[in-house]
Amino acid sequence: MKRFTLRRREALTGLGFAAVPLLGFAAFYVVPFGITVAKTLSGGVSGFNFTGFSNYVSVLNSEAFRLAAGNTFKFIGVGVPLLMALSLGVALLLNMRLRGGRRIRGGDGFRAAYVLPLVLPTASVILVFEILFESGGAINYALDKLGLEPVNFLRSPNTFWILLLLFIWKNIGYGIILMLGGLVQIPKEYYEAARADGAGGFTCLRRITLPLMAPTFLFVTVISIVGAFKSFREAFALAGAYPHESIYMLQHFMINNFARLNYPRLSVAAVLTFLVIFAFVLVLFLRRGKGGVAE
Amino acid sequence: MTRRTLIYSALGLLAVMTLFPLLYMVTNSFMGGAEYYRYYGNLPQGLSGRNPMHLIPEWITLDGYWEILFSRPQYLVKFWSSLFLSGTILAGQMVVAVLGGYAFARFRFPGRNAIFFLIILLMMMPLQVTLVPNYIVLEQLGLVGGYAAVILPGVFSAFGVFLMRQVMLTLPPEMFEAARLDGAGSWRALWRICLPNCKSGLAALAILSFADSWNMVEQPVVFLKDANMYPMSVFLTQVNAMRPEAGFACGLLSVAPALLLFLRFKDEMVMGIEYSAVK
Repeated sequence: MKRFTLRRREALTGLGFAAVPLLGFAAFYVVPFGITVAKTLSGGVSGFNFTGFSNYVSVLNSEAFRLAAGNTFKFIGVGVPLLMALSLGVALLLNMRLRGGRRIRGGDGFRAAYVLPLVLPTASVILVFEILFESGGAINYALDKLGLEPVNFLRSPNTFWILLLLFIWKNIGYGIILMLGGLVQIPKEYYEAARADGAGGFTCLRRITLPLMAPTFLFVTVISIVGAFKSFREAFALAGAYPHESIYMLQHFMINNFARLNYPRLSVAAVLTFLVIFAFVLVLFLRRGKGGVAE
Repeated sequence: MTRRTLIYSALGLLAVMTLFPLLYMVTNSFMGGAEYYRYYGNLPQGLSGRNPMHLIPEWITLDGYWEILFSRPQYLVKFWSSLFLSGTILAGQMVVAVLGGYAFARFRFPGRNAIFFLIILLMMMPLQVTLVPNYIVLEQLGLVGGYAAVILPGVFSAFGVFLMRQVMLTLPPEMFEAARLDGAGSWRALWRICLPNCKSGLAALAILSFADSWNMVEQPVVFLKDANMYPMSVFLTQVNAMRPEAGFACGLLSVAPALLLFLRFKDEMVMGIEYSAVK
């Protein structure tokens, strides 16, 4: 009986602390999202006229939506693994021991330098990127001097890769710090034992580092996807509401439909995006027993 | 020796790449209008036969700073409204994140896992998914057009709750057990035990949250009707709104608050990010 009441008290206290955040999330996200779902099933500008899934059919068939969804998938599918590989690589370098067992010097300084782009407002640094990548920019000037053809970086299929570069530039520090945090937790003894058994550096990486880093990888994936969605700000600062089609993202689709007061289309895109992320988070959550993000 | 050189060069090269844009802005902020036009005037048109990369100005002036600080008031007005918005959101987010993080890290209650699932879901959701739903609610509450419309949804940050939960989970349970045996209630344990031990997590949250809301573009554009109320982040995207030589100085003005926070708390920020991954 005592145990029961203690538990109850704990639950009540916990819910008490959670009350303010939960009410806010409910008021600004959960309830409104319910309204959004209702809007997708309704036609017309006002009122609720049930139209079934016709809005979904129309959006899924629209070329703009397909382009936006395809680009967003491609951006995350290419950008997130690339960011993870690069940040793991740099973290491995930072974690390396030089001859005589000495550590890399200035590791804290390097990490601080790498994470700096995260706090720089996009709009204020975009000018520097334009000086580098515009048609008459510094890189084209250098290409010209080398006798090569100038490249259209900002209004061509190349724009996708420029946006990817900006994404990596901005988020690599976060990735490196997380990866390094995972690496230093792997006990040194594992490597020593493997070395004693004659394992080389590559075998150690494949058999010890990568498997033990799985929880970190999962978390970096989550944070990188959040970051990838935020790259819209860079895309917007670089090219405005109607960029080259190679970086026309789901967010452009939603913002532009908002500007045209086309709420049903916008809501359908929002609900579809939600469903994909929902499925992804569900997989993460169900895997958490195996070292997932929400242990 | 060569391996060592190689490692340091690779690390150094990346550091140059991450530091370069800020450095470039600092030096170029001392450039005058005529020089600006000469180098950057026709960037989109194509090559001008001159290398636009221009690290050190030929003629050092304070024109840009004069323009934004004394000549016309609009830059500073934008600066202060940005500071007001980001500061208020930050303060609210800290309260929400600490309360939520504490609840999820230290108490068991029915539905805890389901709600935490929801919070991760919210955290990963792109802003645009919730923008219109937000708008509908804010309109019902009669808040659209005022700063409250930008602040209130910003305060309820799923990432903040998530980060603080992760940070608080790293604290040893024995610490709280000892506090309880000493007769400290949950509030007292939060104030006296928990918060003093998550300073780095709080610093990380503060700087990440501040940088994020300082950077926001979509929310002000959608929720505020009057363009005069737009913060700096939106103003900066309207290039024509300012004189070109003020561009770099204005950019630096907008970098300054987050940068100062960063310089003061960079170690805490690194530690806080590290903690966020530990289960």
